[in-house]
Amino acid sequence: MIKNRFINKNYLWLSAISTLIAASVSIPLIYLIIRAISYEGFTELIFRERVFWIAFRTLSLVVSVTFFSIVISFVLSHFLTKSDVPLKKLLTILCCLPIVIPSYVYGMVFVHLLGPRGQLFQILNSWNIIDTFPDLYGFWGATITLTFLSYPYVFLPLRAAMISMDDSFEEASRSLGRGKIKTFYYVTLPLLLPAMRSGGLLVALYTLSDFGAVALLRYQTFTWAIMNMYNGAFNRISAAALSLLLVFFAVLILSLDSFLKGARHFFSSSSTSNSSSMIQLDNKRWLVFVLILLAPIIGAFIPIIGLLTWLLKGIIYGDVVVFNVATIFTSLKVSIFASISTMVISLPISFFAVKYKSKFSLLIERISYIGFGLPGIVVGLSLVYFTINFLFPIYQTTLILIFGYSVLFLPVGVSAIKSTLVQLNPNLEDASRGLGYNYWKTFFKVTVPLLMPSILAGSLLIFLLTMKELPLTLVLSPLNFKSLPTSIWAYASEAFFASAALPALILILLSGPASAYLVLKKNNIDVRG
Amino acid sequence: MFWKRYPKIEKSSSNYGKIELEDVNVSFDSRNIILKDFVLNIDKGKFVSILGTSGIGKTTLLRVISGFKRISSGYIRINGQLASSGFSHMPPENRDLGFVFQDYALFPHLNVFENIGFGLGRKIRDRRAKIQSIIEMVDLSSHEKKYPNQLSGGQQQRVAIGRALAINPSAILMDEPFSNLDFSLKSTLSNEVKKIISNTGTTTIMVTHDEREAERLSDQCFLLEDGKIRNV
Repeated sequence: MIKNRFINKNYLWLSAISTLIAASVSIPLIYLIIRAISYEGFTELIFRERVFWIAFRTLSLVVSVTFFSIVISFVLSHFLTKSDVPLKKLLTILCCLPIVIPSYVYGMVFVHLLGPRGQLFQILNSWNIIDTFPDLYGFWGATITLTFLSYPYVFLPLRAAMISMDDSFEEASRSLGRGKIKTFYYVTLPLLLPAMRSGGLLVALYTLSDFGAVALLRYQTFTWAIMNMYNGAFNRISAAALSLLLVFFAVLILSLDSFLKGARHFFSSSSTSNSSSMIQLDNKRWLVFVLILLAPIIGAFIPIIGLLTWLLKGIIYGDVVVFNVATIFTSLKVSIFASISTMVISLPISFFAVKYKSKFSLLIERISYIGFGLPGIVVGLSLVYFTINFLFPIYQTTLILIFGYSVLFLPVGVSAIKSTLVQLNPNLEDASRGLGYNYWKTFFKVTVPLLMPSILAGSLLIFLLTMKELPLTLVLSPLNFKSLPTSIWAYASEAFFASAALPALILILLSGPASAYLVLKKNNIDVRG
Repeated sequence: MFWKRYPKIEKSSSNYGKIELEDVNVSFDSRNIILKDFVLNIDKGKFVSILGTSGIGKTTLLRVISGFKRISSGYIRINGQLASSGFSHMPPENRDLGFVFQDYALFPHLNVFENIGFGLGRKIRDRRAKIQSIIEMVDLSSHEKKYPNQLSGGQQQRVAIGRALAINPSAILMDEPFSNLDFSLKSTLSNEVKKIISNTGTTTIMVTHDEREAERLSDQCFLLEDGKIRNV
């Protein structure tokens, strides 16, 4: 097949389409890099002391959020897989709930509840318990917020790894004279490290690209600085130069992950033995239950209850609750279009990568993953500069906004399709060809139906991510464009909390079913209990 | 004290290598009784096989002896020392027993050399030489850098035996050690294993459902049935 691929019509079509997509995805970014580097004050800007502190603050936040997310996830996964804590399945589902809460919504509730003059202070102060309240703005506020929102990204793979880890490894270590602590250090931890690393990578990139929470909690990171420079509008190219540093740190995190992956030899847990060594919690079962429940309470219930309270208080006290129903349809419309267009462009790239393996197809696939490490704000800025200079008619249109979402979430689509495509038995397609179906008929009658569950899952995930995406929407949206995230942001920035609460609740409600499906799917929640 | 210290039994002791179970009762719940007033005495250096059908509790018996499962009542003495009773429980790491798991449980992140040396700790004198001698004994000299997923079933089995023997245990417990191997390899390897164990003079308890294998390898065979044991 490799020898004949240059005369293979299907190969030519697929390679042409995939190359076009890869070029469309990467050219704006390359342009941004060239413009930023050619900017006269580039060196001066990136070596400023202020930029150094922003980098330090950003990296501190990334490290602390990743660390605490791993710790919380480890404790949750440990008790939910290795102990007899009651209502395990329910607890597992609840622990995944924070995924649906956008960071800017959480930040808004956090400030209102725990801020220096927040609700908690007012209640405690009215009872004469305290006069002052610790300032939770800044580093710790941002750490708490982002940790409780992002821990599910570690919890899900770690829990799956714990379920699939054979108990006999730990037992073998104990039988060889190693105690519990040494067994944990030498056996359990190395075996769980791949899951911790992959989840930790997602949390680190999520933290690096977050804008909403850090802005509301007044913690100055790169995204905050870039958005400020961009909105300042005096010298927008300096925002591009700064975003280049953000790209550098994203690449640094990804390289660190690859380095750690390379340093350890590949391994996998083969078989799983039954969990005969379940920890018997006896009379502490319900205490552990409550402690586990704290994670979803802090990560999901408090923001939801906070939003409901604002809304009800606003209605009761006669505040003007402004809400434009059209924002729901706008959000749904762009999210649906974004998920469809992203999946459509993911298909040829996935096929090209799997069916015609070569260095070239690998390069195309790698390019499609560009959005994985890049914060939304950088993708947004690259498209702004590119369209202003080369494609002005589509600058600030819904078309470029949807394209921006597609660039950002293309890795989700490609990995969803590719993961199933590589497992697809090639004999099925051969059988179809043998029965008289041509290539395309086989593709639509056999391959696509088999890929449908993955296509659906990928679409839902992209839908969910697009519904919540804020920085890219703020940068790329057309004038007078109002979606749920931009409405929440606008009202929250002006402290109209009752008006911000309604779109936030609707956003959570609309994202809920998609999240539930994704969490329950893929055996993330197994029925073994 | 935070944790209890258990005295190391001298090899020269007359009780070394002895395993005694006295009126041992083990159950998962009130209905599922696995061992009932179970009695078994194994002398130093003996190779004993426990036969029984699937699900009868053979693996549980080994897990009880090795300390992975607690007993409801009765006594288990290893090397003459009380290891389990209804009130006390010596942790597995202090029992001085080697365990060969049915699926071998080789650590996938460690190579053959590291797997075999795992139980020896880092500070032991002549560690490398000791591991090398075990590797030679189990005939894996050219595979010491390989990881478990790069080994055949028979090689994995030899690593598991070598790893258990490396700590120089007073007794070795084997849970259906040959069940994952094909017929020809099974008979070759079982003979090899018997030879290795005989050379070291280690007390051995093997559970299996294969009567022929048990008869061929063991000094004594028992049948586990309804929570009790009887001589075959």
